[in-house]
Amino acid sequence: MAVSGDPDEPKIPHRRLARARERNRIGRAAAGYLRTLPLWQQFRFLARVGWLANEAGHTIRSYSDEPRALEELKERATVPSSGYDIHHIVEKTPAYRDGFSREMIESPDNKVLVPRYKHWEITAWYAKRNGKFGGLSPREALRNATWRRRVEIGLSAFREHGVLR
Amino acid sequence: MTVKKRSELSVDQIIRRFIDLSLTQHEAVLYLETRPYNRAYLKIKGLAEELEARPGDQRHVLVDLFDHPNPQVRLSAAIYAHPLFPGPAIKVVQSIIDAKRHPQEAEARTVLDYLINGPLEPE
Repeated sequence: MAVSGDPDEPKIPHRRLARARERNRIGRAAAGYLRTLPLWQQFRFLARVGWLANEAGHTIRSYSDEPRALEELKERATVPSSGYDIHHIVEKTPAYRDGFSREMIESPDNKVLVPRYKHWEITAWYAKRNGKFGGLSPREALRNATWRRRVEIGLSAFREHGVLR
Repeated sequence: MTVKKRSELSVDQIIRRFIDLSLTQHEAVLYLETRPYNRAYLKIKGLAEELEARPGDQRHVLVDLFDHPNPQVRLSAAIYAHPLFPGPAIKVVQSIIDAKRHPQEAEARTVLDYLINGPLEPE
């Protein structure tokens, strides 16, 4: 286990774990911890976590990105980048289901580049019940909603996850 | 083993279940598993409603969880104690955000927005 003496540091096994579910959990925990460290300690931490840094270094580091302006997020979506995913501001599948056009859904205006772990967390957020949405999940609450409302909620999700300034 | 109805539980038993379910949510958030999270959400809500229905509105006991070591427990307690203790509940949520507590930080931002601004306005 990688240990620095900091009680908040996640325990990273020295050997690569067999199950992706566990590797992803540890990767996200490492990314969350890295964000709390000053830059010089980030390098030290990554040097200690061996296999994890080799396998998911870009993804872990991208989690520490500062929030960006919307236009910058859209522009970055035009070029793939390690540790980042292209994300639709208005979720694709529900939008198709509710009859919105491919032109709107796949428009560059609807795509942003986000850190991979934050992409996963935002996707999960859409499925989690939430008092803000009357106890429904955001995805359920947006059924039959206008495009404008979907964009509003999508951008709000980005702000809450530290992606959008 | 007979499972007691919520109405048959003591306040202490309700709080213990509240904590256990919040810890279930914490585990679910670690693995991004939304089904167990949502099942626990409904049960936690039910426990809070039971506390509210008790004589004297027993939701005030949730304040004791404001310094629980687990951030998901603190977050759940803040949500349901907020109607009685809005200021302290908001402070609890803000402290999770300020500490950048993974993985609750983003959820805490959503909760803070909800506590301050209420539910989403209909279109």
